[in-house]
Amino acid sequence: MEEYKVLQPFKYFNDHISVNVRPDGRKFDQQRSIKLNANSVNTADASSLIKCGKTSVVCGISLELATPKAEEPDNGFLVTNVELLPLCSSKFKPGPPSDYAQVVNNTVNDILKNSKCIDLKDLCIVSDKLAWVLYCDIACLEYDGSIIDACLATLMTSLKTLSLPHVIYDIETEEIKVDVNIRHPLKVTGLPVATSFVIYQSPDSNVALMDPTSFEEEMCGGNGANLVVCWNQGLLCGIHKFGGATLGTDGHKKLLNVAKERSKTIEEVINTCIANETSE
Amino acid sequence: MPGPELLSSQGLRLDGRRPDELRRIRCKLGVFTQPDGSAYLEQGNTKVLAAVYGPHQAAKSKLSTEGVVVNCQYSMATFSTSERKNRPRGDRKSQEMSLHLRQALSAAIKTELYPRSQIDIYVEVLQADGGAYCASVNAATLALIDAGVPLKAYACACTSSVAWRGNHPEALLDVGHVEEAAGGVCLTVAALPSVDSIALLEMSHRLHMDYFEVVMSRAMQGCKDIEIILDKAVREHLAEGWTKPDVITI
Repeated sequence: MEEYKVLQPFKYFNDHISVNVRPDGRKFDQQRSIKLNANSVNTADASSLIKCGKTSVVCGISLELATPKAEEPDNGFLVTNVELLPLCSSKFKPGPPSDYAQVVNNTVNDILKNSKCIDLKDLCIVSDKLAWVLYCDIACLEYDGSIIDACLATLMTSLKTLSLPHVIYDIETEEIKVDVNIRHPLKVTGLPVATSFVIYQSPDSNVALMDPTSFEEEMCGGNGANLVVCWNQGLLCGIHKFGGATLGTDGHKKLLNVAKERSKTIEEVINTCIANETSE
Repeated sequence: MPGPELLSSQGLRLDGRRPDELRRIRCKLGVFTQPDGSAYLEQGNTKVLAAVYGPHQAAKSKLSTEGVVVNCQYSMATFSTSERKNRPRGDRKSQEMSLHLRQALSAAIKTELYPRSQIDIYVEVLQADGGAYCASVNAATLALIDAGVPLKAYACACTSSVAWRGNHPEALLDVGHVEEAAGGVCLTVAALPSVDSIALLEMSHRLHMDYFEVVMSRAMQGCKDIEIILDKAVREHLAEGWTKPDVITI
Protein backbone atom coordinates (compact mmCIF):
# COMPACT_ATOMS: atom_id res chain seq x y z
CA MET A 1 0.00 0.00 0.00
CA GLU A 2 2.72 2.42 1.00
CA GLU A 3 4.77 1.60 -2.11
CA TYR A 4 1.73 2.29 -4.30
CA LYS A 5 1.33 5.68 -2.65
CA VAL A 6 4.98 6.60 -3.22
CA LEU A 7 5.37 5.23 -6.76
CA GLN A 8 2.09 6.39 -8.25
CA PRO A 9 0.65 9.09 -6.03
CA PHE A 10 -1.79 10.51 -8.58
CA LYS A 11 -3.30 7.15 -9.41
CA TYR A 12 -3.49 6.25 -5.72
CA PHE A 13 -5.31 9.50 -5.00
CA ASN A 14 -7.62 9.23 -7.98
CA ASP A 15 -8.63 5.67 -7.08
CA HIS A 16 -9.81 6.93 -3.71
CA ILE A 17 -11.64 10.01 -4.96
CA SER A 18 -13.46 8.08 -7.67
CA VAL A 19 -15.22 6.01 -5.00
CA ASN A 20 -16.06 9.10 -2.93
CA VAL A 21 -13.56 8.56 -0.15
CA ARG A 22 -10.28 10.23 0.83
CA PRO A 23 -6.99 8.39 1.49
CA ASP A 24 -7.46 8.71 5.26
CA GLY A 25 -11.04 7.42 5.06
CA ARG A 26 -12.84 10.73 5.55
CA LYS A 27 -15.76 12.00 3.47
CA PHE A 28 -15.18 15.06 1.30
CA ASP A 29 -16.64 17.49 3.83
CA GLN A 30 -15.46 15.81 6.99
CA GLN A 31 -13.22 17.53 9.51
CA ARG A 32 -10.21 15.90 11.17
CA SER A 33 -10.24 15.43 14.94
CA ILE A 34 -9.24 18.59 16.81
CA LYS A 35 -7.44 18.85 20.14
CA LEU A 36 -7.14 22.33 21.59
CA ASN A 37 -5.34 23.40 24.74
CA ALA A 38 -5.01 26.86 26.30
CA ASN A 39 -2.24 28.15 28.60
CA SER A 40 0.22 25.61 27.25
CA VAL A 41 3.33 27.75 27.70
CA ASN A 42 3.61 29.59 30.99
CA THR A 43 6.39 31.98 29.95
CA ALA A 44 4.03 33.65 27.48
CA ASP A 45 1.24 35.96 28.63
CA ALA A 46 -1.29 33.83 26.78
CA SER A 47 -0.79 30.73 24.71
CA SER A 48 -2.55 27.86 23.10
CA LEU A 49 -1.77 24.69 21.19
CA ILE A 50 -3.92 23.04 18.54
CA LYS A 51 -3.62 19.63 16.95
CA CYS A 52 -5.88 19.28 13.92
CA GLY A 53 -5.26 15.76 12.72
CA LYS A 54 -1.47 15.85 12.48
CA THR A 55 -1.10 19.60 12.01
CA SER A 56 0.22 21.06 15.27
CA VAL A 57 0.49 24.79 15.83
CA VAL A 58 1.37 26.66 19.00
CA CYS A 59 0.71 30.37 19.57
CA GLY A 60 2.27 32.52 22.28
CA ILE A 61 1.39 36.13 23.00
CA SER A 62 3.96 38.42 24.63
CA LEU A 63 3.14 41.87 25.92
CA GLU A 64 5.40 44.89 25.73
CA LEU A 65 4.95 48.60 26.30
CA ALA A 66 5.71 51.19 23.66
CA THR A 67 4.95 54.74 22.59
CA PRO A 68 2.11 55.01 20.07
CA LYS A 69 2.84 56.30 16.59
CA ALA A 70 2.56 60.06 16.22
CA GLU A 71 -0.09 59.84 13.49
CA GLU A 72 -2.17 57.33 15.53
CA PRO A 73 -1.83 58.40 19.16
CA ASP A 74 -4.76 56.35 20.41
CA ASN A 75 -3.79 53.05 18.87
CA GLY A 76 -1.77 50.22 20.36
CA PHE A 77 0.04 47.64 18.23
CA LEU A 78 -0.88 44.13 17.20
CA VAL A 79 1.92 42.23 15.48
CA THR A 80 1.47 38.70 14.19
CA ASN A 81 4.30 36.46 13.13
CA VAL A 82 3.82 33.00 11.67
CA GLU A 83 6.86 30.72 11.59
CA LEU A 84 7.01 27.54 9.55
CA LEU A 85 9.90 25.89 11.34
CA PRO A 86 12.18 23.48 9.50
CA LEU A 87 11.27 20.88 12.08
CA CYS A 88 7.65 20.83 11.00
CA SER A 89 8.28 19.35 7.58
CA SER A 90 11.14 18.43 5.28
CA LYS A 91 9.68 20.91 2.75
CA PHE A 92 10.90 23.85 4.82
CA LYS A 93 14.62 24.45 4.97
CA PRO A 94 16.38 26.54 7.61
CA GLY A 95 17.00 30.16 6.76
CA PRO A 96 14.89 33.27 6.23
CA PRO A 97 11.11 32.79 5.90
CA SER A 98 10.14 31.29 2.55
CA ASP A 99 7.58 32.91 0.23
CA TYR A 100 4.96 30.49 1.43
CA ALA A 101 5.58 31.32 5.08
CA GLN A 102 5.27 35.02 4.32
CA VAL A 103 1.99 34.46 2.46
CA VAL A 104 0.55 32.51 5.40
CA ASN A 105 1.70 35.22 7.78
CA ASN A 106 0.09 37.93 5.68
CA THR A 107 -3.17 36.04 5.26
CA VAL A 108 -3.54 35.45 9.00
CA ASN A 109 -2.67 39.08 9.67
CA ASP A 110 -5.21 40.32 7.11
CA ILE A 111 -7.97 38.13 8.51
CA LEU A 112 -7.28 39.38 12.01
CA LYS A 113 -7.14 43.05 11.00
CA ASN A 114 -10.21 42.87 8.77
CA SER A 115 -12.35 41.12 11.33
CA LYS A 116 -11.75 44.05 13.71
CA CYS A 117 -12.03 41.67 16.64
CA ILE A 118 -9.42 43.64 18.54
CA ASP A 119 -9.87 47.39 18.77
CA LEU A 120 -6.41 48.92 18.80
CA LYS A 121 -7.81 51.74 20.94
CA ASP A 122 -8.32 49.19 23.75
CA LEU A 123 -4.57 48.67 23.76
CA CYS A 124 -3.82 52.32 24.42
CA ILE A 125 -3.06 53.21 28.04
CA VAL A 126 -2.33 56.93 27.82
CA SER A 127 -2.95 58.69 24.52
CA ASP A 128 0.25 59.58 22.68
CA LYS A 129 2.41 58.36 25.58
CA LEU A 130 1.96 54.68 26.34
CA ALA A 131 0.33 51.72 24.64
CA TRP A 132 0.50 47.94 24.66
CA VAL A 133 2.19 45.96 21.93
CA LEU A 134 0.76 42.49 21.41
CA TYR A 135 3.32 40.20 19.81
CA CYS A 136 1.44 37.15 18.58
CA ASP A 137 3.99 34.50 17.64
CA ILE A 138 2.60 31.45 15.92
CA ALA A 139 4.94 28.52 15.40
CA CYS A 140 4.03 25.50 13.34
CA LEU A 141 5.36 22.34 14.96
CA GLU A 142 4.07 19.81 12.47
CA TYR A 143 2.78 20.60 9.01
CA ASP A 144 0.02 18.42 7.57
CA GLY A 145 -2.15 20.84 5.60
CA SER A 146 -4.78 23.45 6.52
CA ILE A 147 -2.19 25.61 8.20
CA ILE A 148 -4.20 28.85 8.05
CA ASP A 149 -7.16 27.26 9.86
CA ALA A 150 -4.96 26.02 12.67
CA CYS A 151 -3.03 29.30 12.99
CA LEU A 152 -6.18 31.38 13.22
CA ALA A 153 -7.87 29.04 15.71
CA THR A 154 -4.90 28.99 18.03
CA LEU A 155 -4.46 32.76 17.71
CA MET A 156 -8.10 33.44 18.62
CA THR A 157 -7.94 31.09 21.61
CA SER A 158 -4.83 32.85 22.91
CA LEU A 159 -6.38 36.29 22.41
CA LYS A 160 -9.51 35.25 24.25
CA THR A 161 -7.52 33.99 27.25
CA LEU A 162 -5.25 37.06 27.36
CA SER A 163 -5.57 39.56 30.17
CA LEU A 164 -3.67 42.84 30.31
CA PRO A 165 -1.98 43.88 33.56
CA HIS A 166 -2.98 47.13 35.18
CA VAL A 167 -0.64 50.02 34.34
CA ILE A 168 -0.30 53.23 36.33
CA TYR A 169 1.36 56.05 34.38
CA ASP A 170 2.38 59.22 36.18
CA ILE A 171 2.19 61.99 33.58
CA GLU A 172 4.49 64.40 35.44
CA THR A 173 7.35 62.05 36.33
CA GLU A 174 6.72 59.77 33.29
CA GLU A 175 7.01 56.83 35.63
CA ILE A 176 5.42 53.53 34.63
CA LYS A 177 4.19 51.07 37.21
CA VAL A 178 2.85 47.70 36.11
CA ASP A 179 0.83 45.63 38.53
CA VAL A 180 0.69 42.05 37.27
CA ASN A 181 -1.74 40.99 39.96
CA ILE A 182 -4.60 43.14 38.71
CA ARG A 183 -5.51 42.08 35.21
CA HIS A 184 -8.18 43.16 32.78
CA PRO A 185 -9.30 40.66 30.14
CA LEU A 186 -8.72 41.80 26.59
CA LYS A 187 -11.92 42.69 24.78
CA VAL A 188 -12.36 40.43 21.75
CA THR A 189 -15.46 40.94 19.60
CA GLY A 190 -16.37 38.14 17.28
CA LEU A 191 -14.40 35.04 16.45
CA PRO A 192 -13.15 34.67 12.88
CA VAL A 193 -12.75 31.05 11.82
CA ALA A 194 -11.03 30.01 8.59
CA THR A 195 -11.78 26.86 6.65
CA SER A 196 -9.49 25.53 3.93
CA PHE A 197 -10.55 23.61 0.88
CA VAL A 198 -8.66 22.13 -2.02
CA ILE A 199 -10.25 21.50 -5.38
CA TYR A 200 -9.33 18.32 -7.15
CA GLN A 201 -9.53 18.23 -10.89
CA SER A 202 -10.71 14.72 -11.62
CA PRO A 203 -11.46 13.56 -15.19
CA ASP A 204 -15.24 13.61 -14.55
CA SER A 205 -15.85 16.69 -12.46
CA ASN A 206 -14.12 18.85 -9.92
CA VAL A 207 -14.56 17.96 -6.28
CA ALA A 208 -13.83 20.06 -3.25
CA LEU A 209 -12.20 18.54 -0.17
CA MET A 210 -12.44 20.23 3.20
CA ASP A 211 -9.57 20.39 5.68
CA PRO A 212 -6.95 18.90 3.35
CA THR A 213 -3.89 17.03 4.55
CA SER A 214 -0.48 17.84 3.16
CA PHE A 215 -0.67 14.95 0.69
CA GLU A 216 -4.07 16.11 -0.60
CA GLU A 217 -2.75 19.65 -0.98
CA GLU A 218 0.16 18.38 -3.07
CA MET A 219 -2.17 16.39 -5.31
CA CYS A 220 -4.43 19.37 -5.92
CA GLY A 221 -1.99 21.98 -7.08
CA GLY A 222 0.73 22.16 -4.43
CA ASN A 223 0.94 23.46 -0.88
CA GLY A 224 -0.77 26.77 -0.60
CA ALA A 225 -3.16 26.43 -3.55
CA ASN A 226 -6.10 26.48 -1.19
CA LEU A 227 -9.43 28.17 -1.01
CA VAL A 228 -9.79 29.74 2.43
CA VAL A 229 -13.20 30.86 3.62
CA CYS A 230 -13.61 32.88 6.82
CA TRP A 231 -16.78 33.23 8.81
CA ASN A 232 -17.12 35.44 11.82
CA GLN A 233 -20.13 34.37 13.90
CA GLY A 234 -22.54 34.04 11.02
CA LEU A 235 -21.05 36.80 8.87
CA LEU A 236 -18.83 36.04 5.92
CA CYS A 237 -15.62 37.92 6.52
CA GLY A 238 -13.19 36.75 3.89
CA ILE A 239 -12.48 34.50 0.95
CA HIS A 240 -8.99 33.86 -0.38
CA LYS A 241 -8.27 31.65 -3.36
CA PHE A 242 -4.65 30.97 -4.11
CA GLY A 243 -4.73 29.41 -7.55
CA GLY A 244 -5.36 25.73 -8.06
CA ALA A 245 -8.28 24.12 -9.90
CA THR A 246 -11.62 25.88 -10.33
CA LEU A 247 -15.16 25.12 -9.27
CA GLY A 248 -18.35 26.64 -10.67
CA THR A 249 -20.29 29.31 -8.76
CA ASP A 250 -22.84 26.76 -7.49
CA GLY A 251 -20.03 24.67 -6.14
CA HIS A 252 -18.62 27.72 -4.39
CA LYS A 253 -21.98 28.52 -2.77
CA LYS A 254 -22.13 25.01 -1.35
CA LEU A 255 -18.63 25.41 0.05
CA LEU A 256 -19.59 28.64 1.77
CA ASN A 257 -22.33 26.79 3.62
CA VAL A 258 -20.00 23.94 4.56
CA ALA A 259 -17.54 26.49 5.93
CA LYS A 260 -20.33 28.19 7.87
CA GLU A 261 -21.30 24.92 9.57
CA ARG A 262 -17.67 24.19 10.37
CA SER A 263 -17.12 27.63 11.85
CA LYS A 264 -19.91 26.91 14.35
CA THR A 265 -18.15 23.68 15.39
CA ILE A 266 -14.79 25.42 15.79
CA GLU A 267 -16.37 28.24 17.81
CA GLU A 268 -17.86 25.66 20.14
CA VAL A 269 -14.49 23.92 20.52
CA ILE A 270 -12.73 27.19 21.33
CA ASN A 271 -15.38 28.31 23.81
CA THR A 272 -15.44 24.92 25.55
CA CYS A 273 -11.66 24.92 25.81
CA ILE A 274 -11.57 28.40 27.33
CA ALA A 275 -14.41 27.56 29.74
CA ASN A 276 -12.54 24.45 30.92
CA GLU A 277 -9.37 26.44 31.33
CA THR A 278 -10.94 29.23 33.39
CA SER A 279 -12.90 26.84 35.59
CA GLU A 280 -9.73 25.01 36.64
CA MET B 1 29.82 33.73 46.75
CA PRO B 2 26.32 34.05 45.20
CA GLY B 3 23.93 36.73 46.43
CA PRO B 4 20.54 35.30 47.47
CA GLU B 5 20.48 32.21 49.64
CA LEU B 6 20.54 29.25 47.26
CA LEU B 7 20.27 26.84 50.17
CA SER B 8 17.88 27.37 53.05
CA SER B 9 18.72 26.48 56.62
CA GLN B 10 16.99 23.09 56.15
CA GLY B 11 19.20 22.41 53.15
CA LEU B 12 16.48 22.95 50.52
CA ARG B 13 16.92 24.97 47.34
CA LEU B 14 14.82 27.88 46.08
CA ASP B 15 12.32 25.57 44.37
CA GLY B 16 12.18 23.09 47.25
CA ARG B 17 14.50 20.48 45.81
CA ARG B 18 17.35 18.81 47.66
CA PRO B 19 20.85 19.60 46.34
CA ASP B 20 21.25 16.27 44.53
CA GLU B 21 17.75 16.13 43.10
CA LEU B 22 16.98 16.43 39.38
CA ARG B 23 13.89 18.24 38.18
CA ARG B 24 11.05 16.02 37.00
CA ILE B 25 11.72 14.72 33.51
CA ARG B 26 8.81 13.73 31.31
CA CYS B 27 9.47 12.67 27.76
CA LYS B 28 7.77 11.12 24.80
CA LEU B 29 9.19 9.70 21.59
CA GLY B 30 7.61 9.81 18.18
CA VAL B 31 5.39 12.82 18.77
CA PHE B 32 5.35 13.86 15.10
CA THR B 33 5.01 11.79 11.96
CA GLN B 34 6.65 14.11 9.40
CA PRO B 35 10.22 13.95 10.73
CA ASP B 36 12.08 10.64 10.69
CA GLY B 37 12.46 10.87 14.44
CA SER B 38 11.00 13.24 17.01
CA ALA B 39 10.82 13.64 20.77
CA TYR B 40 9.35 15.98 23.35
CA LEU B 41 11.07 16.45 26.68
CA GLU B 42 10.18 18.43 29.78
CA GLN B 43 12.75 19.05 32.48
CA GLY B 44 10.89 20.89 35.22
CA ASN B 45 9.46 23.94 33.45
CA THR B 46 11.81 23.74 30.47
CA LYS B 47 10.00 22.27 27.46
CA VAL B 48 11.89 21.22 24.36
CA LEU B 49 10.97 19.61 21.04
CA ALA B 50 13.48 17.82 18.84
CA ALA B 51 13.07 16.57 15.28
CA VAL B 52 15.54 14.54 13.22
CA TYR B 53 15.57 14.29 9.45
CA GLY B 54 17.92 11.78 7.91
CA PRO B 55 20.29 10.35 7.16
CA HIS B 56 19.70 11.71 3.68
CA GLN B 57 21.84 12.90 0.81
CA ALA B 58 24.19 15.70 1.82
CA ALA B 59 24.32 19.03 0.02
CA LYS B 60 27.36 19.11 -2.29
CA SER B 61 29.03 21.84 -0.25
CA LYS B 62 28.72 19.90 2.99
CA LEU B 63 29.58 16.45 1.70
CA SER B 64 32.17 14.45 3.61
CA THR B 65 33.54 11.09 2.52
CA GLU B 66 34.68 10.24 6.03
CA GLY B 67 31.40 10.22 7.82
CA VAL B 68 27.96 11.69 8.14
CA VAL B 69 27.63 15.47 8.46
CA VAL B 70 25.55 16.40 11.50
CA ASN B 71 23.66 19.63 11.07
CA CYS B 72 21.99 21.12 14.16
CA GLN B 73 19.73 24.08 14.58
CA TYR B 74 18.91 25.34 18.04
CA SER B 75 15.97 27.69 18.05
CA MET B 76 14.16 29.33 20.95
CA ALA B 77 10.54 30.31 20.41
CA THR B 78 10.00 34.02 20.85
CA PHE B 79 7.57 33.37 23.70
CA SER B 80 9.89 30.91 25.47
CA THR B 81 11.50 33.40 27.81
CA SER B 82 9.75 35.79 30.18
CA GLU B 83 10.94 38.69 28.01
CA ARG B 84 10.15 38.27 24.35
CA LYS B 85 13.15 36.96 22.46
CA ASN B 86 13.50 39.01 19.32
CA ARG B 87 15.77 36.76 17.30
CA PRO B 88 14.85 33.09 17.70
CA ARG B 89 17.87 31.95 15.71
CA GLY B 90 20.85 33.49 13.99
CA ASP B 91 22.03 35.45 16.99
CA ARG B 92 25.33 34.54 18.59
CA LYS B 93 23.92 32.61 21.51
CA SER B 94 21.79 30.35 19.29
CA GLN B 95 24.65 29.76 16.89
CA GLU B 96 26.90 28.84 19.79
CA MET B 97 24.25 26.48 21.17
CA SER B 98 23.79 24.90 17.73
CA LEU B 99 27.52 24.31 17.52
CA HIS B 100 27.66 22.80 21.01
CA LEU B 101 24.74 20.55 20.19
CA ARG B 102 26.49 19.38 17.05
CA GLN B 103 29.68 18.67 18.97
CA ALA B 104 27.93 16.72 21.70
CA LEU B 105 25.79 14.66 19.34
CA SER B 106 28.57 13.97 16.82
CA ALA B 107 30.43 12.28 19.66
CA ALA B 108 27.50 9.93 20.20
CA ILE B 109 26.51 9.12 16.62
CA LYS B 110 28.36 6.41 14.72
CA THR B 111 29.33 8.82 11.99
CA GLU B 112 31.51 6.40 10.03
CA LEU B 113 28.43 4.41 8.96
CA TYR B 114 26.96 7.07 6.65
CA PRO B 115 29.57 8.80 4.51
CA ARG B 116 28.32 11.40 1.99
CA SER B 117 25.11 11.77 4.01
CA GLN B 118 23.63 14.38 6.29
CA ILE B 119 21.56 14.21 9.45
CA ASP B 120 19.51 17.33 10.32
CA ILE B 121 18.60 17.86 13.96
CA TYR B 122 16.20 20.68 14.76
CA VAL B 123 15.55 21.65 18.34
CA GLU B 124 12.85 24.10 19.35
CA VAL B 125 12.71 25.42 22.91
CA LEU B 126 9.09 26.18 23.75
CA GLN B 127 9.65 27.22 27.34
CA ALA B 128 13.01 28.09 28.88
CA ASP B 129 13.54 27.83 32.62
CA GLY B 130 17.24 27.10 32.88
CA GLY B 131 19.04 24.09 31.45
CA ALA B 132 17.61 24.53 27.97
CA TYR B 133 20.83 23.23 26.40
CA CYS B 134 20.77 20.09 28.54
CA ALA B 135 17.13 19.43 27.77
CA SER B 136 17.97 19.91 24.07
CA VAL B 137 20.74 17.32 24.15
CA ASN B 138 18.50 14.84 25.96
CA ALA B 139 15.59 15.44 23.58
CA ALA B 140 17.87 15.18 20.54
CA THR B 141 19.20 11.83 21.79
CA LEU B 142 15.65 10.50 22.06
CA ALA B 143 14.79 11.84 18.62
CA LEU B 144 17.87 10.16 17.13
CA ILE B 145 16.84 6.87 18.71
CA ASP B 146 13.32 7.31 17.35
CA ALA B 147 14.80 7.91 13.89
CA GLY B 148 16.85 4.74 14.17
CA VAL B 149 20.25 6.43 13.86
CA PRO B 150 22.91 4.15 15.40
CA LEU B 151 24.48 5.65 18.51
CA LYS B 152 27.55 4.60 20.48
CA ALA B 153 25.76 5.46 23.73
CA TYR B 154 23.07 7.77 25.07
CA ALA B 155 24.18 11.39 25.10
CA CYS B 156 22.94 13.03 28.29
CA ALA B 157 23.61 16.52 29.56
CA CYS B 158 23.30 18.06 32.99
CA THR B 159 24.25 21.25 34.80
CA SER B 160 25.59 21.67 38.27
CA SER B 161 26.51 24.53 40.50
CA VAL B 162 27.79 25.07 44.02
CA ALA B 163 26.16 26.71 47.04
CA TRP B 164 27.49 27.38 50.48
CA ARG B 165 26.06 26.07 53.69
CA GLY B 166 28.11 27.83 56.33
CA ASN B 167 31.65 27.20 55.10
CA HIS B 168 30.84 23.86 53.60
CA PRO B 169 30.31 23.74 49.81
CA GLU B 170 27.31 21.78 48.59
CA ALA B 171 27.06 20.87 44.90
CA LEU B 172 23.66 21.60 43.34
CA LEU B 173 22.35 19.44 40.51
CA ASP B 174 20.29 20.65 37.53
CA VAL B 175 20.33 24.43 37.90
CA GLY B 176 17.10 26.30 37.24
CA HIS B 177 16.80 29.79 35.76
CA VAL B 178 16.63 31.60 39.11
CA GLU B 179 19.74 29.84 40.42
CA GLU B 180 21.58 30.56 37.16
CA ALA B 181 20.66 34.23 37.31
CA ALA B 182 21.89 34.48 40.91
CA GLY B 183 25.40 34.60 39.51
CA GLY B 184 26.94 31.40 40.82
CA VAL B 185 29.18 29.10 38.84
CA CYS B 186 27.40 26.88 36.31
CA LEU B 187 29.06 23.76 34.92
CA THR B 188 27.43 22.08 31.91
CA VAL B 189 28.42 18.53 31.08
CA ALA B 190 27.30 16.55 28.04
CA ALA B 191 28.45 12.97 28.54
CA LEU B 192 28.08 9.43 27.27
CA PRO B 193 27.47 7.89 30.71
CA SER B 194 27.50 4.21 29.77
CA VAL B 195 31.02 4.46 28.37
CA ASP B 196 32.02 6.98 31.03
CA SER B 197 33.14 9.66 28.57
CA ILE B 198 32.59 13.36 28.36
CA ALA B 199 31.54 14.86 25.03
CA LEU B 200 31.29 18.50 26.04
CA LEU B 201 32.25 20.49 29.12
CA GLU B 202 31.52 24.13 29.73
CA MET B 203 31.83 26.26 32.81
CA SER B 204 31.04 29.90 33.46
CA HIS B 205 32.22 32.07 36.38
CA ARG B 206 34.97 31.28 38.86
CA LEU B 207 35.36 28.12 40.86
CA HIS B 208 38.20 27.16 43.17
CA MET B 209 40.11 24.08 41.98
CA ASP B 210 39.49 22.30 45.29
CA TYR B 211 35.75 22.25 44.66
CA PHE B 212 35.86 21.35 41.00
CA GLU B 213 35.91 17.61 41.66
CA VAL B 214 32.76 17.83 43.80
CA VAL B 215 30.80 19.80 41.21
CA MET B 216 32.05 17.65 38.34
CA SER B 217 31.18 14.34 39.97
CA ARG B 218 27.70 15.63 40.87
CA ALA B 219 27.10 16.56 37.22
CA MET B 220 28.35 13.16 36.00
CA GLN B 221 26.06 11.43 38.47
CA GLY B 222 23.22 13.56 37.13
CA CYS B 223 24.02 12.42 33.59
CA LYS B 224 23.94 8.78 34.71
CA ASP B 225 20.55 9.32 36.37
CA ILE B 226 19.20 11.00 33.26
CA GLU B 227 20.41 8.09 31.13
CA ILE B 228 18.37 5.69 33.26
CA ILE B 229 15.27 7.85 32.78
CA LEU B 230 15.77 8.15 29.02
CA ASP B 231 16.43 4.41 28.66
CA LYS B 232 13.21 3.63 30.52
CA ALA B 233 11.28 5.96 28.24
CA VAL B 234 12.75 4.35 25.12
CA ARG B 235 11.89 0.85 26.31
CA GLU B 236 8.33 1.89 27.17
CA HIS B 237 7.91 3.48 23.76
CA LEU B 238 9.09 0.33 22.01
CA ALA B 239 6.97 -1.95 24.17
CA GLU B 240 3.92 0.17 23.32
CA GLY B 241 4.60 -0.26 19.62
CA TRP B 242 4.90 -4.00 19.87
CA THR B 243 1.97 -4.87 22.10
CA LYS B 244 -0.54 -2.78 20.14
CA PRO B 245 -2.39 -5.18 17.78
CA ASP B 246 -1.65 -4.50 14.15
CA VAL B 247 -4.59 -3.18 12.22
CA ILE B 248 -4.96 -4.93 8.91
CA THR B 249 -6.82 -3.11 6.17
CA ILE B 250 -7.90 -4.69 2.95
